[in-house]
Amino acid sequence: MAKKIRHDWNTWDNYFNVHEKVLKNYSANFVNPQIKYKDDRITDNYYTLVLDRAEVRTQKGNTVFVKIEKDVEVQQGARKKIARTYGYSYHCWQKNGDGTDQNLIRYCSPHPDHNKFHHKHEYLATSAQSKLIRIDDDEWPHVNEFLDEVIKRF
Amino acid sequence: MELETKTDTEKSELFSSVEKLKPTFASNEAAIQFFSKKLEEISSIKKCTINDLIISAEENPTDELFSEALSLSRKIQFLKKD
Repeated sequence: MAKKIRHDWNTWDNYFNVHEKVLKNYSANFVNPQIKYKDDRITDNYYTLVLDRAEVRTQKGNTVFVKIEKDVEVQQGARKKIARTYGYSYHCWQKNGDGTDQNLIRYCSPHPDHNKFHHKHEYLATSAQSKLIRIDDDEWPHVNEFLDEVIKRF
Repeated sequence: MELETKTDTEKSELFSSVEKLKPTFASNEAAIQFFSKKLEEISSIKKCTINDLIISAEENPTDELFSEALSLSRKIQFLKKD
């Protein structure tokens, strides 16, 4: 049996329904449980979703920030429109005691001119440069997996 | 083309909003021109080339201009893919 593609096309209604449902599933961890994606439509087939500076309570009792951005490709399918994530960025950071920001992790889709592969930045408090981790093509996390990592790890 | 099998029959507030959205730009070219200009403006403020801007932005994504640069770069990448 062929391996299931994790980030395959979805019906467009289900794509957006699932994104909203995931946020609702984590509402107990959001400082603002009513937080929502900001949606936009750039062109006919290009939509964006942004969850900006959402405060998340972690299992360790800390509060961190996340920003989730999705570039969504929409096409006409055989019966109805279909959608999939083309580009994304999932970023998590925290505020230091002095009010400055400390980056923690950031997942990125491939860039056009460098790091042309899915990757994760692990930011180090002791260095200006992050540790770069390459991620296989279909192995980058879904939003719920990113939030799980943030909530359990930080 | 395989479709995701998990379904959610209840129409979400997000989808209700999305299906009413009108495109901001009539063509990819118009959108690319707009986003490229914004990227150039940030590059000018940060006094570096666009390539260097994106590389620096990856290490400093909490800086609002760097964060915007990354977002603009992704948008242009999407619009140029076809």
